[in-house]
Amino acid sequence: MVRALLLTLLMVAQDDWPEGRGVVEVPKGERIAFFGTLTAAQAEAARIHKPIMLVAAAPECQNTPGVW
Amino acid sequence: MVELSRQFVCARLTVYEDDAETQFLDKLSAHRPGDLKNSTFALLAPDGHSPLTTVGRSPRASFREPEDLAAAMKRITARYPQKEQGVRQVPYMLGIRIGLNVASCDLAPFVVVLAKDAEARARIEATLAPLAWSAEFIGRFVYAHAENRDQLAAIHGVPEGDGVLLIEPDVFGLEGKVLAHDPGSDPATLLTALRTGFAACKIEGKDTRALIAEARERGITWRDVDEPPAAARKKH
Repeated sequence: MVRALLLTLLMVAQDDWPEGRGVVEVPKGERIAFFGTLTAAQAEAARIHKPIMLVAAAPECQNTPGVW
Repeated sequence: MVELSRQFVCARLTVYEDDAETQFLDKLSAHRPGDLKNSTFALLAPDGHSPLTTVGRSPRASFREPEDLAAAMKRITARYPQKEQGVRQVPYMLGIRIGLNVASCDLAPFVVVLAKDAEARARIEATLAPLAWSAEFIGRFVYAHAENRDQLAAIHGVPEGDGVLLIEPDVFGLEGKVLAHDPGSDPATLLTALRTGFAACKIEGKDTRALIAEARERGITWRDVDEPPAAARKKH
């Protein structure tokens, strides 16, 4: 549930997010641009004096990689 | 939401992958030490650590509806007038392995800067960073950097020499193949390479239940049982 909420809110433009298996093209909708490390995000926030939207998640489900 | 996010520095940390980040999230979330959950959401002040709203596992900790979050983001944005931004840094992940995994999770191409030293990497970044934050490519790629080909053992088709590689991750995010590459010295040729790779990239969609079943059948795991830090052991 929590993971689904994060995905819905923060991952992608949901209207082009594919459901299920099968080879798909990369979704073309707009996406949030994330810094991938805390230090880089903090440095950028300090540099331009902007707040941070922080998300943390594990890129694995039951120790299976490739899925949030 | 995507438009509003542009007024923030957005950070997505990968839980349990870095000790310092794990400690930061532990402290931020006010969990008992070592009881960090596998997701966190927070809006922070520009100082990088002061929460502006309740910290929780998702936005629902503070906001009932997405509209409530949007309203809060607008209020917060108004408190921090925009400064001259200049060119942002390339938004790297912690490393190659985690970046490839995250790219697969996101159904996004994985872009690697391969450069033998910091000076060479800086030259490539000067070409890549403006494209990474351009309207055409913002948010579309997951980035990491490597110093040598040995770090890219899981990537097929890595060319000789420094440059930018656009990689298609496999469904588990454990392997990938190079779809396009460029030395990273000419914005025009790099733009072409990114466009070519992005257009060619095909990634397998996700059915979480089926993926987990397949992983178990094939013995595929993200980490060894004993590998994660103490904080990770209570994650579920």
